[in-house]
This record gives sequence, C-alpha cells and structure tokens, in this order.
Amino acid sequence: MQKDIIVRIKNGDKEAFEQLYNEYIEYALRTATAITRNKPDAADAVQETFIRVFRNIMFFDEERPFKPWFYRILVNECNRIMKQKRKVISMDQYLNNAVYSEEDRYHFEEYEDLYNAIQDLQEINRVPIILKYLNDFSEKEIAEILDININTLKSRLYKGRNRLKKALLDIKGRRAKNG
Amino acid sequence: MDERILDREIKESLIRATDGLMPMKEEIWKNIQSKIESDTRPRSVRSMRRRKKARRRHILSSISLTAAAIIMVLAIGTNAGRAAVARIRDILLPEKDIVQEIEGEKEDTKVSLHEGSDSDYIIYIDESNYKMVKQDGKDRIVPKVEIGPEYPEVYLEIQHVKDKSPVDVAREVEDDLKSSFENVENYGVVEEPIKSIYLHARDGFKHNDPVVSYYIVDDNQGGAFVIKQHLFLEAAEGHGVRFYHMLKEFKVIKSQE
Repeated sequence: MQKDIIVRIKNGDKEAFEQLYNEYIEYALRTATAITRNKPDAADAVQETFIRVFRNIMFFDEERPFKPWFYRILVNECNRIMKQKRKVISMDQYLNNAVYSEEDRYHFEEYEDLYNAIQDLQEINRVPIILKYLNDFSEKEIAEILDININTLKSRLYKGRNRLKKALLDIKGRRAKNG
Repeated sequence: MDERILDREIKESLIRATDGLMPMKEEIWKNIQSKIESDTRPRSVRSMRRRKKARRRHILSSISLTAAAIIMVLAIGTNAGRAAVARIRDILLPEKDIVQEIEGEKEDTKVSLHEGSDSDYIIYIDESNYKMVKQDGKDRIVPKVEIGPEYPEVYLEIQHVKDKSPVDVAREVEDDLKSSFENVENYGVVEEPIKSIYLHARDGFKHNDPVVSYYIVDDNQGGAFVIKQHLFLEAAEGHGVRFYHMLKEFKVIKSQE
C-alpha cells in the first residue's frame, strides 16, 4: 500500500479509501471466509474492518507497513464475530452458505478434502496457515498480526503443515485406491 | 511428498474454497459508504442531541443490567465513591468463574472483585495467580510467582489521568513508546477486551523481548484510564491471555464532583 494513499485517506479523501477498498477487498473476503467458515459472517467482519480502518486511520503511522495492521484488525473482527455467535458451522452448512456454480463445485470438490483438513486443524494452527497461504505473509508478519512469538508461530505452522501433509497423503492414497 | 506440491495444494484449496465471493463486493461497499457518510455528515445541534440520546439508549440496552447499575451510580467525592463501590459489591458477585484459553487449552478460573485505589473503577482479578499492589500512585496487578531477573517485568498497571482526554493521552503514550521501541503500532479504537484506544510496542522476536500494550479508556468525565500491560513475548499467551480476561471485567465507576 502506497504511503500517499494512506495520507490522502487521513485527509478525508474518499476516493483514496475506495482505492484501498478495491485493492484489499478480495483477499480480505477470502481470509475472513476461511477463518469464520461462514460467508455472511465473513461479509460482516470485512465490512466492520473497513469501517474501523476508516475511523482509526488517523492513529496509523504511515511509515509502518499497512497490510499487517489491516489484517490484524480483520482477524480480530473475525474472532469477535465467531465469539459472539458461538456457533459451529459444519462443512455442509458452509457449502450451503457459499454460492457456487456447478462448474465451481466440480473444481472445488478436488480440493474439498484438503480444505476440510485445514478447517479441522486446531485454531492455533489453522489461522496461521490461512494467513500464510492465502496472503503470502512472512512468518514475521504473521507473528505480528497474531501478536505471538515468532518461534511459537514457526512451531504452529510446522505442526499445522505436517498434519496437512499427512492428510494430503491419505487423500491421495484413498483416491488411488478408488481408481 | 515434494514440499512444493504440498504448499501449492494448500494454497490452491484455500483459493478455490473461497472463490465466488466477489459479487458481495458492491453491497459491502454500499454499507460501508452509508456508515462512514453518517460519520462525516455535518449535523445540526438537534440531530446531535437525538444521536446522543439514541446512543445513550443503545448503551443502556446493550450492556447488562449489572453494568448499567455501575454506570448509573453517581458518587460524590471519595467517601461517596467508596459507598458506591460498597453498593456495587452488593450487586455484583464477589467471585465468579470464567473460562479462558491458555495455549489452546480451555481453563476454568475463579476471579474476585477488586476496586481501584480511588474507588473509581472495579476489576475482577484471578487471585490464584495475581495480586494487586500500589506502586508510584498506580495500581498494579502482578504475578504472585516471581518471574526472575532474566525476564522483563510482568504487570498490568492502571492509572486514572483526570485532566487529559483519551486522544491526548494516546498521543503522549505513542511519542513516549517511539522513543524506546522500534515497532510501535496505534490501532485506534478497539472494542475488545475493553473499548479503548489500543497501542502496542515491541522490539524484537526473541522469547524474552519486552512487549508493551496500552489501553486508553474514556472515563466519560474528560479524563482517561491508562492501562499498561507489560510482559515479554513468550508470556503473551500465558499472562497476556489472563490479563486480557481480567480487562474484560474492567468497569469505570462514574463520579460527580
């Protein structure tokens, strides 16, 4: 994110804010959907995040990187909404909430098992994995977003990734057996 | 398995599972626009009064009866403040159980009601692990077990600054943090664990590097409560989580001179 856009937003330039929205919306929605496991909750979290960003941008130091600041707010919003609702969404419900064309669904099924395995990870492994693979954040950035020690983060990513590796081997084994 | 294949497949599964969301983009943008328009639209005095009344109604309806009782208490001077706290003690549970998640494990914890030195706030403290002490005119919640000299101090400190607004205090705190820390972030107003301006500072990523967070809470009388959380990186998920849950139970007691 360019510094001048942030400065313009701070000065009340709504076009600059829309520019920021257009740049961030896609991956914000993807990330929030993966974290909340629910499309309407993801939309609420993303909406509230952008409103918070607009209201709090005056506090942001434009000399610092914007993306981790933004995603920290997003992750907190997702957690807040999940905590508020305290509901567990099964994968079936998740799929019912999502809008997929038949073609999308066909492609999705190829990856569904692995996605299920990601969603079955413990919360402390799941969120770092989502941030790393959806957003290409560095380990240092994820540690900053989640406010955890980088070694703790490395260990959580390592454990999460190992579980996914095992899950993927099982999936491939099953598929091979099924022809 | 080739590690690159694993990475590619994880990424691909996340991308595909979260496809098809962009049609929501326009609707979300419209909602955001209408919210921020109402923030920035100039208002007449009458409409501001209406908003103020509406906000007050909203606060009263959304907070619990107990919290409402606390906020509604009007105390005169310190003695009356103490009397108010005494009355609140009658209303609130002296002890209660909370569930907190430490390092991914759920833990039941008993917390006990405490009042600030000047009877201007209350907080529930996990007394099995912490105690409240007075230091330099501030209240400090510190671990009962000594951490050791090789680690930075661990505490949650509460100070009432009566003559500065939360925004002014936040600016001062930010400048102060920037003189001692390399990474300082001001996240603006947050709702959790308590509605406050939230600042966060740290230097490195070593297990014993100090991490400082500030929550600047509006006292609704022109001043602010400055809550400083001081710990080290590795303690963020232990003491950090416990402090977080204690802060969720922090309540300002309104007084009237």
